[in-house]
Amino acid sequence: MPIDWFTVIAQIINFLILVWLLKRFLYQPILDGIDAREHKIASVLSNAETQKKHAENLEAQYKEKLTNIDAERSTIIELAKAEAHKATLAALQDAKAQADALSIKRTNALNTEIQMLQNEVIDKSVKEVFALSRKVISELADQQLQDKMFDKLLSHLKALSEVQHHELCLAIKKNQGHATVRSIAPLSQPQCEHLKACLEDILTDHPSQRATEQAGGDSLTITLNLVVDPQLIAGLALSFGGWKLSWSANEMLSALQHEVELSIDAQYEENVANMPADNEHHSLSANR
Amino acid sequence: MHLSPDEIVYWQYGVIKLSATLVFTWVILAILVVSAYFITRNLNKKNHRSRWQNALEIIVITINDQISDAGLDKPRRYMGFLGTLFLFIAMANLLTIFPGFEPPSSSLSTTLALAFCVFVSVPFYGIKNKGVKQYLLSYTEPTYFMLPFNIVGELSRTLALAVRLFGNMMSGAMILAILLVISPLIFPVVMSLLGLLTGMVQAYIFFVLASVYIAAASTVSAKASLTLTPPQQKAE
Repeated sequence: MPIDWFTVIAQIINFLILVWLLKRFLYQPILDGIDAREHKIASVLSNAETQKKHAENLEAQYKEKLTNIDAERSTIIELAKAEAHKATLAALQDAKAQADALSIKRTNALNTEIQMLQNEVIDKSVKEVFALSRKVISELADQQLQDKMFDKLLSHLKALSEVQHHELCLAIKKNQGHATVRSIAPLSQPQCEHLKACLEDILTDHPSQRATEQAGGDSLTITLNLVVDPQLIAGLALSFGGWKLSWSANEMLSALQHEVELSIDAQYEENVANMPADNEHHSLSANR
Repeated sequence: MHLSPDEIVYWQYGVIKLSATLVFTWVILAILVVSAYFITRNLNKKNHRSRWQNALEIIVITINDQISDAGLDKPRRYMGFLGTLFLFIAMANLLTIFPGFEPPSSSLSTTLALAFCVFVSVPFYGIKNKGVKQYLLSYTEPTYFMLPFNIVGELSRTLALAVRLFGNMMSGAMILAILLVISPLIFPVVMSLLGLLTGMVQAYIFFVLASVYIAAASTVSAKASLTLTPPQQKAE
């Protein structure tokens, strides 16, 4: 079989032309299209991957935020519970303190009232006792008791201290020897004389009187103004103006009553002072 | 009765002959180029594609994968040549179903021209990838003693390519013609189907063999790569 070399050459050229044309119109456009699509798919995948990572990051952030919020919420709740517990305790303590204070106040008021009542009872008892004593003594008082008491007065006059002696002399001089003697019954004449003699002796012993006598002056005469005073109950009272010497049951009982009353008052004050103070207890509770 | 479309001459002026081979080659060429042009004219580069675009993409990707499977690293560099070989031969063989069509592949001139193209492309790609010296040295492998055998092998395989395709296609046409004379009904249809299968197989064989030859010439052997690779120096 002969080979047609012209056809061979023509077919080679035809084939090369076909190669060029198919490259131009088939392979290149198709491959470019495939490349573009693959590139687009790759970019879409890459974008999706990026968005996925972004979403994962966001998810992680939100999870972390949620965890933080939970922790914060738990902390806040715990703090609130602690605050509420503290406030409850404080309110309870306050209420308890107020109740205690009220209780103490009431107790104190009751104690004070009791003390006052006791004091009043004691006061009345003392007054009754002393009134009874005065009544008994006044009923028992007679001339014999007055005489004894007169003697006691004289012994007191004789036993005066130097200062009292000086004051008595000054008082006698000041009143020109006028003395007032009060008694429940009038003094007898001898008793009056005896008292005068005693007072004159006292006056004579005073240096100023002695100086007056030596200078040739008149000696001072003692005059007695006798006053009957049933209020004395028993005993006597000698007075020169403001100076006074007495020996009477009334005065003794009055002095004793006064002392007893002072003692009762002191005891009352001590009892009241020993009561628990309201404010102290209240402030102590509040500090706690 | 003629053995080759070369024998059908429509016009002649001296040595210049317008044979059926050339005319049907231009028909194939026109069909391929025009259809490719119209399909790829409005390519959609997005996800929505036409069925024709899908078909072309399947064909191109399959060719690409086959070239890659033959052992060529960058298949797109060989796509134009090898893909066109396959498409041209396949189209020529497929169109035999049309009565009156003379496949150019049943012409020894065409198969010789294609084999010559392969014969030239082998050293072309070999030298392009390996360099002249390494390519020429590859003929002496495994020993210098093998040099003449390698050269003879190179020539004979080219001739074998041409003759294999020509023989198969010519025989198919011949058998069909003879059967039409002996048994004009049914049996020629079966043989025609068998001829289509044979034609596709031959197109595939031609394409794969060309790929393998180019791959064998282009692949840098381990020994060569060792001698060629310059020692790496630190960039200081």
